[in-house]
Amino acid sequence: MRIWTNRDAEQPDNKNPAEFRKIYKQHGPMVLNYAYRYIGNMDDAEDILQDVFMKLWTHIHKIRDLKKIKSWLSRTTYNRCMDFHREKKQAHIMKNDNLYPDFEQHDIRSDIIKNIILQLPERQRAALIMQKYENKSYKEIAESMDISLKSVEALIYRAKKSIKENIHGR
Amino acid sequence: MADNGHITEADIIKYIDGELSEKESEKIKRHLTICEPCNQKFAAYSSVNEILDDYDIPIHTLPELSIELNMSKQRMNRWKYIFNAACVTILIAVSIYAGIITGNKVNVVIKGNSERNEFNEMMHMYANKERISLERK
Repeated sequence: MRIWTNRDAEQPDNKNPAEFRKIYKQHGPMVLNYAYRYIGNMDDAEDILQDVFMKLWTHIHKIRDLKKIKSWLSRTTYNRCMDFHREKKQAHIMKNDNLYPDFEQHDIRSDIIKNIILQLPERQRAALIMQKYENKSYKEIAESMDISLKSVEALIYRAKKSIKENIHGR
Repeated sequence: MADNGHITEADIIKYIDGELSEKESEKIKRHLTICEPCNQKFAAYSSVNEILDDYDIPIHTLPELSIELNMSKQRMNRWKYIFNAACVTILIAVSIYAGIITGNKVNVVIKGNSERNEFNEMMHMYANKERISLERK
């Protein structure tokens, strides 16, 4: 699959929208699902999806290895979600524990889990979503979050311990 | 393993997540068959994983990507660049033409640096001659 040529690398305008759309169809669901699980709201998750792919569109000529697109998207989605959280905090939207009241129509149990996950600290939540729902190894999570393997172990441990205490008690 | 001979919670989690080596996993597997407290912890963390599996994402379709908008923006930038280049070319041409008509010294690069230097040298010599003839008068 070719999205650009070497000559194109110096001419970022000269990109291939058809190939880009294929990448979007292939990796878009991963970005959207991650953003939804992290933010807990589909409208905001779709905004993040657009932001991430717009960024990819402007930076794609810099990514030489197509195999790295997935990890680039994963890292960019994680960073965008963290930024989104900070922006929301600054806007004083986070006033109580029920951060995202827009509950879609699906299982109550799922809503409870969603709430538990949304109440986890940002980095714990990010690591847990990558591990549990993207099936990433701890090593891959460390690369995406740009932290050490030990830090990932600690984040997953704290996240799961906190969920266990929420469900089963201490 | 913890100092008390039991498996640490962190290791139980890593064991469930498949993050331990084969040797470590085997050791934990053996310990779980004989230790009830560790087995309870293992069951609790396993259920956490199962519960997390129930977190559904609402059914949705991938929204359309607004790439066209970005491309038309790029095209607009290209036209802006062409327009600016045309303006600069016209400005240079007018300056040169005005210089020739009025006979004023024009410090504009016409073709290259060497020609500009020649031109300026000539103008300088002409000015010196004028000055000398005025002094003689």
